[in-house]
Order: sequence, then structure tokens, then C-alpha cells
Amino acid sequence: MPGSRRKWRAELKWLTFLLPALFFYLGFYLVPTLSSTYYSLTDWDGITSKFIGLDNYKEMFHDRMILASFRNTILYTVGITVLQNGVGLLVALLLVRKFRGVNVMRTLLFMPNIFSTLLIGYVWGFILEPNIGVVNNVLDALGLDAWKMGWLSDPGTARWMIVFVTIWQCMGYSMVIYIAGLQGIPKDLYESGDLDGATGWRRFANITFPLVAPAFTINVVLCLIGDLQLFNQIFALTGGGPGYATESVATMIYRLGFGNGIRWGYGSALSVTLFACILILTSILVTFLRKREVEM
Amino acid sequence: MTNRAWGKIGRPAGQGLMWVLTLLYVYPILLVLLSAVKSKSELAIHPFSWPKHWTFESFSKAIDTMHYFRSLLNTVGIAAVSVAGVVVMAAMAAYAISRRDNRFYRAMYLVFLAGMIIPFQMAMIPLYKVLQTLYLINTYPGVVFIYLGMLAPFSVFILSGFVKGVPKELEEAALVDGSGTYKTFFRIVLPLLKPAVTTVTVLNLFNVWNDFLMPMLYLSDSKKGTITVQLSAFQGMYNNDWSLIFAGVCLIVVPMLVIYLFAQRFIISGITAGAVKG
Repeated sequence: MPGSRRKWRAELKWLTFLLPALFFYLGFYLVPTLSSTYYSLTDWDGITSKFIGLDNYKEMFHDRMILASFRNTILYTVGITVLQNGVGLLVALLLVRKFRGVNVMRTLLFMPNIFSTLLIGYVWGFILEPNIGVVNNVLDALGLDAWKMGWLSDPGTARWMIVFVTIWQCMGYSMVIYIAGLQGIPKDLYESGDLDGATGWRRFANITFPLVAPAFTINVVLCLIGDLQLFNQIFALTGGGPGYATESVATMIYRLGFGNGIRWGYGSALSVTLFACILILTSILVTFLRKREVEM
Repeated sequence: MTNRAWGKIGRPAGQGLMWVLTLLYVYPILLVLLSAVKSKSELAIHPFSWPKHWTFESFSKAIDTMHYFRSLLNTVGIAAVSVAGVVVMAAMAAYAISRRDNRFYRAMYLVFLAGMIIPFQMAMIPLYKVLQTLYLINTYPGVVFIYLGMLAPFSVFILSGFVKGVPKELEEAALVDGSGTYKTFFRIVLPLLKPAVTTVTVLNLFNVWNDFLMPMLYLSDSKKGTITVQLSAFQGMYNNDWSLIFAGVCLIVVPMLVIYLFAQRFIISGITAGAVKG
């Protein structure tokens, strides 16, 4: 039948629009990624490979380095997500107003997002350097010698420095989304709020915050997805050290895959676990925040 | 606190706070610039002072050590092909996804979206194997193919949002006039998508330009290295020559900074549009 043949031809034509992108995405990204699931059941070391069932997963639960990397990842994710959104929202509230210099400020605060994290790591590495770094020298000059320290060599401090530098770099991104959300709030809502005497904190809690809920959702979710796979900042600032004290799950995968003693099977098991965590946590959070948006 | 009182105290306090915060962003940039124009020895003795003798020796040394022009050409080449390729292919896919609103295309959209939460570290090991099998390790096409796949999810996501905003009537009129599907897309739809295409192009360009992990792993031949990878080699070799490192940082950052200042509007609109629809 000519009619249905024409329909098929049109359908095929549409398919040719989809296929080029799909080909590269499946062939050079998605399918290799999913094949990790199979590799995670082997003891593949780059050369030989034997099927070993769930042994890699069992081993992970007793591996102190892996457990530490999970603990660190939780700290990074929670720390960065909470602080970045707090600071980002506060900055957006202040910069949504018009005053002299506000555009320059927005431009500058967003700017680190376009720079390579590697380079930002170098710069902050220099600032925090114990001997010639600015921070220790300023403390010296202020007579606060006792506060001087190896900012990136003490494990506890180094983790928070990673949190700090990540927020320094990415805060502008959240800010931009919050500003767009704030600009979308109709002015007359504030005017009627004024009549009811809603000012200051009450105004923020009852009008502003509920109305930026969609921006809040997307910012928290983006932070969560990004920070669970935090890699560049650690790679650039501490390289996972001292020892393995600041290692995240993502940097552990790198270490297992391309560091000393290649264990690709084991690394795959870790990456599958990380992906499962991201998928589950993101789904839970999206569902929860969406529900909250409606209720507010 | 009444509104007026808040305005009297709160507003100047808020603005003051913002100036302090801005300083926290200006200082590192200033530090990089001023350190790069100092000599190595001056930087070691006076790390914070204004440079006494302006010298560009670190820049010329960085240009030599990074093989700047060769690696710049490598980076520009890889970025141009990958970004142009992914933007055109993603726009086509986004067009099909938004116009053929049936179950298959909706499923394909979700397949693309899934890529946005996949950590690169999960693809890292298997991709090495794929490139090895296809004899693409250490080659430009290998890296470009991965970028074409890796950048597709984000590009499809942003562009399909914008395609939905393009009125169908224009295309229908063109189709009636006998213009084919391809012609309609390239002559009518793509030009209408120009702002979105600009946004996606710029954001993808930043991604490729700043990436160091992927080329470091799959393009280890130093002759083929991108500029960011070349700079990362400094870390071990010239540990204490901060002046050299910062000159290298300047050389990498300046092209992107120029693009940022010109295309800022498109960057911001892309981020917020994606966020609002997400």
C-alpha cells in the first residue's frame, strides 16, 4: 500500500534525526558504562579476567580505604550541598536588588565556574601553602601564630578546605538560579504582604522561600549529583592525601583504575555502587522536594 | 524590625558584605596575574607585594614548556570538532524528540537524560577498553568520539526544551511549500534555535577546554596533549616555580574569559532555562 509505505518512509526520516547522536551516546558512553556491571563480577586487571561473582562487592565492605572514601563522600556531599545553597540563596537575595556594582559582582561571582578546576586547585593550593601561602602569612602578621597550620596536610582541615574551594567555585551557579527564581516572584505578593505586616524574616519564610522552592529543588539536586562524584577538586588540591584521608569514591575509582596496582574489576564494582547511590538518592530527593514544593 | 529600619541598617550592611565577598573572588585572580609577571626569585621573597620588576620571562618559559601553540591547536581542533558535532547532532535529536511525541521518542529522551547522572568515573575504565579494541587509544578521533557521546545528554536536554518553544506553524508552511524535512530543519528550525545553540555551544566548549582527566587518560602522547593536560604536567616537574605555573594558568584562562564576557547572557539564560524546566 503506497500510503503506509509513505508513512514508513517518513518515520525512517525522523529516525535519521535521532540516530547520529544516539549512536555516539550509546557506543561511546552509555553501553561502556553499563558494561561495568559485568566487569564488576570479574577480577579483571587489564590483562586477564576471571568471573568471581560478588566477591568484589563483599571485599568492599571490609576495605578500610573504600569505607573511608564513602565517609568522606558523605561529608563532602552534605557539607557542600548545605553550605552552597545557604550562601547561594543569601547572596542571591542581596544581589537581586539594584545597586552600584551589582552586575560586576554577579559576573565575578559566577566566573570561577568557567575555569578548569585544576587551575583553581593550583591557585588555592598556593594561597593555602604553609610557608609562602597568604593565609599563614596573614595569620603571622596578625600575631595569630597558633592558628597557622598545614591547611592541606592535616586530614580534618584538608577535607573542609576541599569543601570550601568547591563552594567558592560553584556557588555562583546556584546564585544565578536563585536570582532567576527570585525575579519570577510577582511584586504584588510583597505589597500585599507589607499590608499584612509581613516583614523581615516572616516575609522571607512565608513569601520568598516557598516561591523559590523550584529553584531550591534544582539546586539541591544538582549539588547532590555533582558532589557525590566529586573528583576534580580533590585531584587538584590534595590528590587524595595525606595517605588516603581525603579520598572520595570517585578518586578511589581512579586510583584503582589508573594508579598503582590496576584492579579494573574491583574499580568497576565500586563505580557500580557509586552509580546506584546517586540514582537512589537523587530519586528520593526529587520525589521529596517536589512534594514539598506543592505543599508550600 | 520595621521595613524602614531594615532599609537603614540592613541594606548598607548587605552591600558591604557583598563587597567583602567580591574581594574573595578578586584576590585569587589578582594573585595569579601579579605572580605571573614577577620573576621566580622575586615571587619567592615577596609573594604578596606589588611586582617591582615586571617581567614576562615566565610567560615565554611557559609557552616553551607547554608547547603552547601546538597544544593550543590540539585543544582548539578537538573542541571545534566535538562541540560542532555534538551541537548539530543533539539539535537534530532534540527536534525529533520534541516533534514526534510518541512512546518511543519519549523513552529515548529518558535514555539521554540518564547520561546526566552517570559519573565519568564509571565510564573511565570500560572506555579505555573500547578505545583499545578499536585502535583509537592515543588518537584524536578516539577523544572526539567520547566527547560526542559524553556531551550529548546535556545538549539534548537543553535543546529539546527550546525546540518545544518553536512554533510548529512555520515548519508546516515550509512543508506545504515542498521543502523536505531536512531542508526545513536546517533552513528554518536551526536558525530559530540560534540563542539556544549559542548557549549549548559555549557551555560545551568550556567543558572540553577545561577537561583534563579524559585527554590525560586516552591521549597520553604528549605531542597530542591539550593545554590543560600540558599544564598539569608542571605540577610534578616545577613544583616551586609558581610564577611559571601562574603564567600557564593565564595562557589557558584568557581565551575562555573573553568568551565568557561576551557570551555571559547566553550562559546565564541557558543555565536558568534548563533549571526552570528541569
